[in-house]
Amino acid sequence: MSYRIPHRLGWVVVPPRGAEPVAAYLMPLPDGDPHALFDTAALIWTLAAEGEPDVATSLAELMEVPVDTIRGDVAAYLDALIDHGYLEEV
Amino acid sequence: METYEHMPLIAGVPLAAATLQVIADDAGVDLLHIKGASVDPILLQQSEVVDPATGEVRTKAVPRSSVDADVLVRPSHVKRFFAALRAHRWKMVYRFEDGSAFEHASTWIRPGLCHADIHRSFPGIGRRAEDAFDVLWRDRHTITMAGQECLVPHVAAQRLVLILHAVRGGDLGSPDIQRAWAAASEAQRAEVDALATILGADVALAAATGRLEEHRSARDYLLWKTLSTGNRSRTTMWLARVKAQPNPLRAVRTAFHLIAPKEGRLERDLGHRPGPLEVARAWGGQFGLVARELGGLVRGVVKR
Repeated sequence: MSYRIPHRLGWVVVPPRGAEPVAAYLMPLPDGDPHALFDTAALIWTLAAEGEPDVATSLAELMEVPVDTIRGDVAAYLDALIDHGYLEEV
Repeated sequence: METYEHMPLIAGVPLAAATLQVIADDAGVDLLHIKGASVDPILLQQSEVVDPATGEVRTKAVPRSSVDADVLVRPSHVKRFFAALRAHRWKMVYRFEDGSAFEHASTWIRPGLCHADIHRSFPGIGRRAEDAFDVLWRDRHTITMAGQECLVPHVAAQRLVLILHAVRGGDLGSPDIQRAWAAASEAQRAEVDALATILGADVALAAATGRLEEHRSARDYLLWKTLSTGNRSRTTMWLARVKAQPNPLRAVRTAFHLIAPKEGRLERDLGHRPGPLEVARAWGGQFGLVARELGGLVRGVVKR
């Protein structure tokens, strides 16, 4: 399954700097409230937003963990991101 | 996923800019992003970064450290834009009249984002604001901020805006002037010069680029000489700004504006709408300030 960024979502990804983790700042435009995702949450959103079809596998490779240990959590989190309007399924 | 109230500027500025663009698009308002996060990368500071994997050295543009989103709105669309902003959780904190003597920008805030400066004109540009906007609008292009398509003026116009902003602050050693003018090619400078002529910004540009004396007879020569040399005497500035006005009516209005207490700022300072007594006190304070400044000027003349 692939995802894309909704048309009216404002977003800024800030790469990790020093001790600060990667962050994704998201805001439904023009009236929504800004939200921040950090670290693994930001990575999941970024991978999905880039159109990665298998987010769990890509994340597992980045984090160097077995994909089976995170697949369920990643899928649930992606569903939550869609529910909040931060991602759309393609 | 909770609301994030302390947005870092590196995210808050482009998100505010994107919000303004979406609101403008929906309301049919023409606006251009200026300064801050919208500046073309070739006008930014470049730093060298080493790729840790390959050891390769690359240059990378360093984002500007801006604290707000600046936009220039077509003057005839300002009223409509303000109504649209109010309908989308933005609140005006300073009117045009509460800002600088140029009365060029109004400040707005919105929960969760950095503030926005809404410009209806740009100090240093002498041409009628609507006509000047037309010139800048004609050569606009699109960039992406916070994932949204945002409109910016031509790079030559961006150079001019950065230069005019720096010289107004008396910062002739500004890195913006260095990058936008000193480091520009002859062709790029000619482009900026030509645009400044069209926009009536010759004198301000000349003040920033060491050519002000070529404009000694210009109405706004003294103004830009005063601003560019960082002369902070209120009285000298008052005289220079009044003298720079194109007609007596504008001169009177400017003279009044410069000494009148700013109601919006007074309200922010007091935390409530100022009453008659508080306004009267503020007027008294302003007159005292002017009297002291004039005294200083007179003493300076006597010493000479």
